[in-house]
Amino acid sequence: MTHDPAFARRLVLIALCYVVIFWLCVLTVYFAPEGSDVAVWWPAGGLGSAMVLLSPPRYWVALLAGIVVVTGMANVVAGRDLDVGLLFGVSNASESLVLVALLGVRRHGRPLLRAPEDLPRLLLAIAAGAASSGTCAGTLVAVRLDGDFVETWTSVTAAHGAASLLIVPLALFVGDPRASLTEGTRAIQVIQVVSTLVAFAAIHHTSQSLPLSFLPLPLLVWGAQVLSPRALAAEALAAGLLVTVLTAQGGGPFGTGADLTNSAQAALIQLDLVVIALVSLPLALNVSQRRAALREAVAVGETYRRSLTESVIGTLLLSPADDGLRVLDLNEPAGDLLGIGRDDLLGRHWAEALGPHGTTVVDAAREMIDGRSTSWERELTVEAEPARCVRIALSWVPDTSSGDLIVAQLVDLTEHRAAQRDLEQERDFNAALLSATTGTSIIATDRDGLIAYVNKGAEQLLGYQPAALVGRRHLVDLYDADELRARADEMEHDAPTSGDWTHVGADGRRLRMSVNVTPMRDAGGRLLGYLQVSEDVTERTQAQEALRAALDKERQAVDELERLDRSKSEFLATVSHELRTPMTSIMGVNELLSTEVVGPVNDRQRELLRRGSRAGQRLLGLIENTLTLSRVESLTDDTHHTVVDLRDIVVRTVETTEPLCPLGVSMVVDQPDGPTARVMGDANQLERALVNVVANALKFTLGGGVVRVTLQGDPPDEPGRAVVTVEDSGIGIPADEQSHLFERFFRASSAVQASIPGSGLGLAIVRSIVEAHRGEVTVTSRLDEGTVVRISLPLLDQG
Amino acid sequence: MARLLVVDDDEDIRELLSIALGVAGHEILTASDGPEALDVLAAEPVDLMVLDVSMPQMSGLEVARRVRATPPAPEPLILMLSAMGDPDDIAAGLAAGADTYATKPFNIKSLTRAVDTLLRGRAS
Repeated sequence: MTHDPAFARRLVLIALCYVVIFWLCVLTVYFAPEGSDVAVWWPAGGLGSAMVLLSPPRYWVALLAGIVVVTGMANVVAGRDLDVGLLFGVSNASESLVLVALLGVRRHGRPLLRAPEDLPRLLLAIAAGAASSGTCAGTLVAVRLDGDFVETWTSVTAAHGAASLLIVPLALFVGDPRASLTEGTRAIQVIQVVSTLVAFAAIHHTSQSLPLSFLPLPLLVWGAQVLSPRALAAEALAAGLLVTVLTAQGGGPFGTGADLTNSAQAALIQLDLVVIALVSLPLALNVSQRRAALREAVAVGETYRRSLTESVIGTLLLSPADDGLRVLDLNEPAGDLLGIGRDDLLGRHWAEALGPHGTTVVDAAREMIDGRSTSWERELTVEAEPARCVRIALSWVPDTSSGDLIVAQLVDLTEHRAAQRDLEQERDFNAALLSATTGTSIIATDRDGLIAYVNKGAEQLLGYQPAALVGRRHLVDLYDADELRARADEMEHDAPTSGDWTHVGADGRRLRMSVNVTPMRDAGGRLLGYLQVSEDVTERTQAQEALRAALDKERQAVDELERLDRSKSEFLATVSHELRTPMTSIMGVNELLSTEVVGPVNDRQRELLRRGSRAGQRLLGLIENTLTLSRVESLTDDTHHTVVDLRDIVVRTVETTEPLCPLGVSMVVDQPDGPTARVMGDANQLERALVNVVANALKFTLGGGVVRVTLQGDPPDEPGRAVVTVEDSGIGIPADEQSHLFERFFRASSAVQASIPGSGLGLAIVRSIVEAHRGEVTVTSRLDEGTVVRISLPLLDQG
Repeated sequence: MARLLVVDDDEDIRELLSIALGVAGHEILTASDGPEALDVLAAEPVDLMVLDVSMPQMSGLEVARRVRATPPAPEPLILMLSAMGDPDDIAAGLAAGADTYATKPFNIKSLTRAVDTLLRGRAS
């Protein structure tokens, strides 16, 4: 069970049909002429056929069985025996079966009635159905009711055929939109229907017996003009009903007044009905077909009209005339493009509107008219305001209803051409820009690295003609193959992206190029290719290498000097050490002899041993000083410096040198109380320097002299420094020798003359130590008056 | 009266020290290099070594370290004697195991006194 509302509606309709069929059967039997076994007109058969036709084929068997039952029951109700009634039902159903079989078997959908050509098949199906019904009924009457077969066959066939002829077409029109087309207004249609039905009623009225049954036929013709086929078929059916019913009442041309036999009356009525159907149906179909064709033609015409008026392409319809091209019609875009209003162009010669190009277009049209060409196309400048660039295409359309035509189509290319011109200018500018950069190589490739563009710079640097590279070589072909293999880990997608790379020029020349490769993409991010910008850095690379080589050489020289310096110091240390060992033996032997542990020594021998020991001591002093100097000179860094208070140095120096103080010489120390003389330095070294100076002063000051040691922190004449001065009243140094005082092994002539021992290294050591502390040492002296040694050191930052 | 071992590659120094320390009443053994000194130590009991630092084959520092690592019985005192007198050199010598450090050239009197002082310290 389904609850489909359409299905339910269909069931209701079918039930309604059966009810109507039932009552039609009852009524028709009732209205049958007296003494006749069959009715004159059997609309129940047509209605049954219509019902089956309008239903889907899968219902047909059930519907046909229903017809047997319903019409059979109606016959029984109308007074016939049950078996006779049912057999009449079979007769009815056989009509529908044959009709539907002949008409309904179509490939697509249900049968349609649209053209006069469809009529013969319909008439054949109706006739066959009616004949089938007549045959069934005739056989039944002849066998069961002892009647005449031929008479029954004739009357039943005629009654069924006449009824079906009025009902089945109406069924075929139901649901076909073509069958509802009309031309008349509602009022005219109402007048037509009313007048037709009134005419039929009047002619067949009981008060009228003149043979005027032909009279309504013109009304039916009129109906075919103003009514739809469906309405006309309904009107014909209504008319048929009127004729049947009124004649049964005894009225009309076939009524009692005509004094006809039953069968003659029936035949006349049936003929009348057939005529009504055959007059109205073909006419209605013809008119309907004409209407449909007209409607289609109007629709096609509208399409054509709109394709002209609503097109965005400017279009003109031109008629070739002896004196040019006359404008038949044009659309709005065409008028806009030409800068002329539609009304100003219609009927005029188009050449006039085109200005100087008019003759060109007219000549082209003439060639078409002469059959030398069928189309023509040209880009022209139209002198409208502003001037426009228009592509005009002409096509030749001969033999239309308006005669030969030329269709002109106009497309505005102004903006397109302007954009194209801008693009070309930009391209020219870019090309000029790339060509102008002669010092830089610019190479573009496609996605696969195939060279697509080579600028002037690349051409000149590499020595290739562009034609030898573009489309022929890949970018990597320009590189040194060995280097590409060696530096594969620096590449991306098997090609270098940046850095310095060697290129090989056309002549095999090798160029060092600083390379930068960037991918080029369109606005959507799609890879278009690669752009390599590179510069020749061959000379730069060579210069850098030369510089690096020079720096290396310099560094080697410095290293060598340092090594030499170190080995010199080591040499001095070794020599001093090696000298000491034999000196130890000499001194030890001397001492052993002097102490007489190995035997007695006389005074003369003792004096000689003393001289030997003294010479040995001098030699040892010399060795000691040499060793010290070499050590000081090799200690140029100040990483082991600490904060040193110079007052402590002075105190320790005085303590160390006091034993050296000769008889009659006094030592005076003058130094501040506060901690204002602090420096950064090596306390041992500073003490050694000051001891050397003070020892010298004592050594060169003869009896009765004074050695004054003065320490000043931050003195007014030398702010930010600590100054130690050692002043003696000794023998002094000749002025011309003072510049040599700090030279190694230099001894002043005054010292030598006074037989004062010394190695000539003391002041050299002092200067080395002081300078290692970023200090200065100066000596001022006057012969026979004394000497002043001044040591100045930077004070420790008070902050 | 103690047994002393004088180790020095310089024959003159060996002789000088033998005479000076022998006069002071000690029994003197000598060795001209490190390995020989170690051999003597292994064979004879020695109270004190006078050990030179700069020697071929094995330095005095190494000899002192070996003696201190595997000391013979009785364990000898070590007086290290070197021409190198920098504080760093002295520190290195003491670190290697020397009991005292004297520099060349030396004064015979003070050296003899230093030896006596060391031996006295041992005796007490």
